[in-house]
Parts: sequence; C-alpha cells; structure tokens
Amino acid sequence: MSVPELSVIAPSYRDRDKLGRLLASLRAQTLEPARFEVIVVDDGDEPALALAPEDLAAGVKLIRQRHAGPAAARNMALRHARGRVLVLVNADGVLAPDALARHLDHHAPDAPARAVVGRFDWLPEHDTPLVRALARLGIMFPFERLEPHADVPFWGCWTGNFSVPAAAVRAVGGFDESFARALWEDVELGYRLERAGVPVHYDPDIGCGHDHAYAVRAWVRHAEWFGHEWVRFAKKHGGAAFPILGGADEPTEELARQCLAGLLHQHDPHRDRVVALEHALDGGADVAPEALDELDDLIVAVNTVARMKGIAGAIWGFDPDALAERAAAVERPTVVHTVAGSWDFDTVPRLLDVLGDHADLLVASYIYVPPGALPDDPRVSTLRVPPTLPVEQMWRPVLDATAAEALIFLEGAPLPTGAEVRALARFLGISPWVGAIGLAARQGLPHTSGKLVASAPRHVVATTRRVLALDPGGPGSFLDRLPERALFQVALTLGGS
Amino acid sequence: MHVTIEKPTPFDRSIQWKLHHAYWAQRGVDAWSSGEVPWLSTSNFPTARQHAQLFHAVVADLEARGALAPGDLVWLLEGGCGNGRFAANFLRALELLDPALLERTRYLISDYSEKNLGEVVDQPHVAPWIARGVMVPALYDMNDPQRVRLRDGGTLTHALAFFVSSYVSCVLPMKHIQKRADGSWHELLVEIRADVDRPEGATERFISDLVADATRYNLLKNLELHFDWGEVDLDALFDHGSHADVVRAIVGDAEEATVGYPYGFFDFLRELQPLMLEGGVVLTNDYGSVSRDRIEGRFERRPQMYGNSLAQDINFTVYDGLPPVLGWEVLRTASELDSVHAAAVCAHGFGPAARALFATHYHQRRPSDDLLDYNAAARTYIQKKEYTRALRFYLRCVDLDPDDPELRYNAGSTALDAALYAVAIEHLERGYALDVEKRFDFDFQLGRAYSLAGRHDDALAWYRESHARSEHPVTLTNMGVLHAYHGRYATAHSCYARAIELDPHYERARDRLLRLKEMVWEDAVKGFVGAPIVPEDAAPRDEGAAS
Repeated sequence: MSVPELSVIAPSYRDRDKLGRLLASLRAQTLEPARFEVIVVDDGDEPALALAPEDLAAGVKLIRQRHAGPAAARNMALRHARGRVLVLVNADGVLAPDALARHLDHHAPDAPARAVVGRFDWLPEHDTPLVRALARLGIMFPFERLEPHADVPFWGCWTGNFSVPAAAVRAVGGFDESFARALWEDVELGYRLERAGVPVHYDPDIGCGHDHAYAVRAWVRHAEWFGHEWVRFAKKHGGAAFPILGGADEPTEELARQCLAGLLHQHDPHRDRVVALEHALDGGADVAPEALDELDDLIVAVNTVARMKGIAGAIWGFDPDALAERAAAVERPTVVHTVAGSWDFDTVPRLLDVLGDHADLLVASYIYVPPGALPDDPRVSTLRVPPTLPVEQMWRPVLDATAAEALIFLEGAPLPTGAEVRALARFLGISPWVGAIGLAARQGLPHTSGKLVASAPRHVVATTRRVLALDPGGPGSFLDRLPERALFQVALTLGGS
Repeated sequence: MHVTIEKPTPFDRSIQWKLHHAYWAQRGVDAWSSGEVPWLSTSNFPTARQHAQLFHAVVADLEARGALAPGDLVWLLEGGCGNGRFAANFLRALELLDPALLERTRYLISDYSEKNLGEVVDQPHVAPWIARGVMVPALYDMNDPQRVRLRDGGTLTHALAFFVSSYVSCVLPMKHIQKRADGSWHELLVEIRADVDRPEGATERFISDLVADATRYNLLKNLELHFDWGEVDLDALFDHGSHADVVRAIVGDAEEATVGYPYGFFDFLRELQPLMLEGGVVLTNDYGSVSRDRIEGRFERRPQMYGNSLAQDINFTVYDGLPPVLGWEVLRTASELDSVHAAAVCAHGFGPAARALFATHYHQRRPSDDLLDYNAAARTYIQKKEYTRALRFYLRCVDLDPDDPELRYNAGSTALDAALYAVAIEHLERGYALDVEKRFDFDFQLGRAYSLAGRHDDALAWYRESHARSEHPVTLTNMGVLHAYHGRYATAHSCYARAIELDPHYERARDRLLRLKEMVWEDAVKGFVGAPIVPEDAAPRDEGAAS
C-alpha cells in the first residue's frame, strides 16, 4: 500500500450540503491523487453522513464519531492519517486547484517543521459588509494584519486552510478536545506549536473559499463564545498570551465582576446596537463609505460587550447558550403582591393594567379572599399564607405556588411601572449570579442601567427561583444572605430607552 | 418504616448502578488488594502472556495488510486497569516474546477513576514501565469510548492496534431479556425496599447516603431486592437499532430463552471502532459460561456483587449474535472447563496469524487455568498438612510464572514445612530478589530456612533484616534462640525481653526466657568451662510464622 504525502482532514457537522463542494475541489487538485488521502470525520451528524459514489471511488475515508466538536474530530482523523503532512480544512471550504500542491511545497522532508496558513476568503455570495468589517477590525480572519510570506503570530493558526507536519501535531499532543467548539481550538494548537518551535507561516497564494453565511445575530453569539473560550485558553496558558479586553487580563473572579458591572451598564445600549447593526447589514446592501466609521464603532462596541458576557459566564460556569436560555426563562416574571388587609385588593386591577401581557400576578394574602375580591383574570392566582408568616419569609410558599423562574416581590408603594417590571426581568437575564435587583430612583438616564451595590433597594425586588433555591433559610430575608452565597445585588435605574 | 426506595425498574437503570459507579470511583486499588474484587484469574502471568502472544500475532497481521508499517509505534489500550497487575505481566511477557516489539509498543493503562489510576501509576510493578515510556497512563471511561485523556494532558494521536480488558462486559450496563413461548419478550425489573425513619424524601436520602459512603462493607448486598419480569417491545427497547437484531440472532430458534445481554459493552465496541486501526482487535475476558444450552429456557437472573460493585456472568454465546448483524468476526473460547472465557472481535476480519494463534493458544488447554488449578491444589494439600505434595503443585505454578514473588514465597514456605531446606532457600532467595514492593516477609522465612538448615549466622542476618523492617515478637524470639544456642545469653535475654514487651502474652518467649535462666545456671555451676553447653533439644526450633 503506497503511503500518501498529505492527509487532508475535514471534520463535518451540519455541513453536509457544503461538504460535496469541498470534496469536488479536492478531486480537482493539480496534485496527483496518489500523493494525498482525504479523511472526512462525521462529527456525530444526524443522520449519519454518506459519501457520494465519486468520493468513494476517489478513496475518501469516512469516520463517524460521537459528536464531540472539531478538535476531537481532527484528533480522530489524526489517528488514522498516514500522510507526513496534515492539511486541515473546513467542510465548508472550497480549495483552489493548486492549494494542496502549494501546501506540499512548504513541507520538504528535510525542511524545518512549520505550519502554513493560507487564505480563507468568503465566497462572493457571503462576502458581506459585516464580514469585511470584521476582518478590517481584526475581529475575524484578519488576513490583512498578517505579513505575507512570513512567520506570523500563533493567533494566525486558522485551520480552514492549513498544513502542518503530522509529527509536530502528535508531538504537542494533538488538539485539546476541551475546546469543543470551532473556536480557539486551532489558535490554542498554534500557541503550543509556536512554543514547540513550529512557527505559523502565512502564504496568501494558497487559496480557499469559505462557504458560510454570517448574519449579525450569529456573529454576536459567536463573539460571546469567543469570550467564553478565551477563558479556557487563558486558564491554560495565562491571559497575557492573548489579551482580550485591551489589557493583560487574567480569568479571575474580579474580571468577571468587572464584566458584570459593564454588562449592567451596557445591556440596553448593546441591545440597541445589535438591532442597528442588523438593520444596516443583514439586508446585504453595501454601506456608504461615510457611514463606515460609525459602523465600525458599533461593531467594536457590540464585540466588546458580547465578549464580556462570554467571559463572565465562563468564569461563573454558564456558557452563552445557557445564558440565552436563562434570559428567555426570566422574560415573563410573576409579580408577588402581598395582601395584608382588604384595601390591598383594590390595588390588583391597577397592577394588572401596569403588567399588561408581560407578567403574571400572584396575590399572597394573609387574609381570607372573598369571592369577587379579585378580578377573574387568567394572569391572577392566589396564595393564602398563614398570618404568622414573616413577610421576609414569603418567598418560601411562593416557590411552591408558582413555577415562574423570575419573581418580583412588591413591598408597599409606589407600585412599579410596566416598563420597570419589564426592565427588571430583562436585567435578571444578564447573569444567574445576580441575586436580586431592586428599583432605585427614576433619574431619567439615557438608558436603563444597573449598578452593583452592597444592598439592593427593597420596595420592589426581583430575583429568581434559582437564587431562592440556593438559600438555606433562617431568620431575616434571603437578601441578607446573598453575600454569603457570593451573589450580587443590583440597583436598577430606569432610563429613556 | 418499610418503604419502596425504587419501584420496579429495568435492571440497567436501577439506582444500584449509582452505587456501583461510586464504589469504583472511591475504592481505588484497595478494591483488588483487599481481595474484594478478584483479579488473579484474569491478570496472572500465563493469561497476560497468552494475550501478549495474540497481540504479537495481530501486529504481524496489521503489518501484512499495510495498516502498520514495520517500525511504527503500536498503540494498545487496556480499559479498566484494576491494580495494574495485568499490564505489568503483559509487558513482561512481551519483552520475553519480542523485545523489539515491546520498544515500539505504547501501552495505554487506563481507568475511569482518577483515584484508581493515580494509585496504580505509583505501584512498584507499574512505575518502571511508565518511566521507560512503554506504558502511558490515561483516563478513559468506557461509557465515553472515543475520548482518551492522557494523564500528562495530551490526547491519543494514533489509532489503536489492540484493545484489551478484563471483567468489564459484566460491569457495564446490561439487560436481562427473556423470550417466552408465546413470542413475547420480557426484561428483568428490580424493586428495592428498605427500612427508613421517615418516608418523605426517602429515595433521595437513601441514594445520597449510599453514594456518599459507597465503600461501606457489603452495602449493596444489604439492599432488599425483588426481581420480576416486565413485558417489553424488543424493537423499542434499545437506543441503537442493531441490538434487537443481535438479541434475535443470539436466541435463534429457541422457543424460550433467558439472556444477559451486555448492550453497554456492545455499544462500547461499536463506538470504539473509529479509534481502531483497520484490522485492530478487541479482546475481552470475563467469567461466565459458553454453552448455548445455558441460555435456553426461562430462569431467574440475579446480579453478582464484588464489594459494592455489580457484576453478572456472561454467557459468551452472546458474541455469536454480532457477526450476522454487524459483519464483524468474533473468535471466542468455547470450553466450559475454562475458568475465564475470552472473546476477540475484529470489525474487519482477523488476519491469518491471529486466527492461528487463537486456535492453538485459546482453544487448547490454557496455562492460566493450570496456574489457578495448581494453586488451588497446593492450598488444599497444605490444609491436609501434606506439604510435599503441596510443594509439587507450587513448583508447577513457579514453572508457569517464574517471576511471581508470591508463588516463590508460597513454594519456599511450603518447602520449609516439608523440611526441604535447600529447596526453600532457593525459592525464597529468588522471590526476595523479585519482590521489589516488599509485599512478602521473605527475610523472616529465609531466617527460618537458614536456621533450620543449620546456617545460624545467615539466619541471624535475615532475621535482622526482618526485624529492621518491623519488630515482631516471633522474629525476636527466634533470634534469641540462636543467640542462646551460641552462648550469647545477654543478647538472647534482651531479645526475649523485648518480645515479651511487645506481646506480654507470648508464651513461647516466656518459656524461652525461663529456659535461658536454667541454661545460665547450668553454665554457672559448670564454671563456664569449655564450649557452651548444648541443652537437650539442641537444635534451635523456630516458630513458623511471624504473623
């Protein structure tokens, strides 16, 4: 059996529609087929991948693994690779006909080991103002910041169009499979290769197209994951190896707290900026040259906030998908209105007006609730509590009476406005480590803003079922015990947005 | 209050498995060294040598088919390394068989328990292989078959030529399935009841208590278990569609059958394949049976327990269901006489060398069984105090594994009892050199042997070694007897006195002390003239065991 010189490795997950184009580009290579093998790893796609007859005839090898991410998939292929040199490509890549030949030229058997990164350009149909701006700003595939035909920093180790001696990858222990997403796993390998004396070399003449459409929302989530996975990288190699927020930050609790403070301040503007970017970019129209600076500012701001979200989440044990789930779970709060006397029943209709369709109302009553005392409204439910129950212990029976994740406790006047209730729920979604949010004075800021405080204002307090479930109970309010649980308190000031 | 902790639940989903996993995670190598979990029958040298021979043949086949180039590193993975004895014996056998192949071999010694792996790598029989770079420790959970985490932080970067495991198919989740004459299928359900103080939250409390202290003696055996059969739709019973077909293939045309079906291990085999070289082989050993008639009919199935871990005997005919459904080739042992059964699986078909080796080395009489049988026979004759016959069986064991210090120790000690001192000294001295872990009290036994052979200076030297390792009244008394015999009464006196200090109830030391006083008196009367007076029972008599 002849041994190929190159092993082309393509992990594939939910890219089955694009894989055919990659494999076609491999069949069209100028390099003789006997000099390379192709290994496709089906990363647990459902249904399982099947190769087309022409790919089977070309000897493409297909390995199926339990879904574990591209790092694990490449390691799986590495175990079976017979080539002296690995060429790592994406399933959504389209190689130029001479790409493999050019890669091979860099890896003469007696040459010092080095990795080679080629171009990974968006195909014309995906080459949008967004991706051009991301490259221009150094956020995603900033090839223009790499010196052509020279060794480049390890962060240029992008495995969409990349070659490296197999022995070098094996010597550093392969990809780190704890980087389970298509993010940082390649740069992290580049870091270890560089430290092992294998530099990354940039050759812009090795062409490869990138068959991937990017919309604003997808990129924002990507940026959150970028921050999240940076924490994994920084814990392994130190934050100074890749300063992410403009400084030599380390992934500490203090950094997470700073990020949380920034998120509380920037939450609403960030939301508005994302909407503005969608409006400007997702339509596909070009951006006027005079608007580019403003667009760049928006992108940089969104990128920073999104990364902060990912960083804080990673340090505190929540990934961006989990955070998004929690944000959705707290969107519709239950407002708890305590009734101590019959006059409190009169407040209920006004409360329902304020809440609109955005919340439910739980009337926790110390007194008998006579028929007709409360409006017949599906948003309203009733809880009878014993007269001896201290008001600060009210949350205990409330947890059993409602399944809502977000709870807003009202303690006396003034009642919150509908905007305040919505803002409380919105800000609860920022971090599961926010223990309670209290309404501060309304000050007419440009936008609603939260601030970390030692003790939240208490007349309207929002919290979550998760936070209450962490409370061991005891005398006094759960609010008093939040510091012991390392949970934060926030004062919310409603602004103009 | 007597409450139901677990309602009737399919056996493989019972809460007992939580305890099972917690036990393994918490117990560490003590599970084996304490004798709670057996290991000798699968980890002894002849067994390891037999598997090393198969590995050798598989490598030859892989080279012949081009999956491995001569000179390539050859990777094999042991899943669930136990106390590391098998791994050490395997590599020892491979070194004797083919030193060049040993140097190319990278033996991944793995366990899913970090505690166990951490303890195993420090074992004296394992550590030297790791230091040589031949053995590579890895965390590996057979429930997550494609993830190999090397202990130094890397990952597996080569495909495996060989996978070997012992006692694993019986401890991965399995279902007990029954086919009845009416064509219906049933699975074994388990119900757990217990006495509790408060019924509220009893299940959660019970589980958390159990898991928190999963190594408590006989915890699992003390659960009150009730078994029953529940009717199931075989085609909907498993996550993977092939299982129902494999079960049907196993049962064949039997009108009624009861099968312990190790689907957890078969899932593992399927998911392991991407890690294997084309032509790579999986070998597993387990206890159980091999006859088809042992699955026919309806009968009760109950799990067996080792410590607090679950186990069940495997009927190896279940492996016969794999080839017709998955197209794999299976070689397995087929004699009910074997103490442990083996199955080798190759998804791409075995090569000629492996097939031939399996036919000769696995289907014929197996030296590992000889070892176990000789061992058992020797113990039986020792109980009957027929030491010479016992020794003959131990010497056969030594022939099968000349480098096992335990066998040498047993042979030497038995030779002493048989009054064959030269034989005893030969085996005890060889065993002493082999016992780098100092697991056995060779120095004490050598003291006895030399003493009984009349070489008192040598005997004292060995007793001093034993004494330096740990003070023991028997050793001290034996030393005292020798000193007294040679007239060193003061030294003898201090030996006896120290022995009595250590154990005030040790009668032999007290007797010897009294005797010493008499001897001193006699010497005094005779004016210490000439050579030391030898008492009537001149030959110093040693006590046989220091413990």
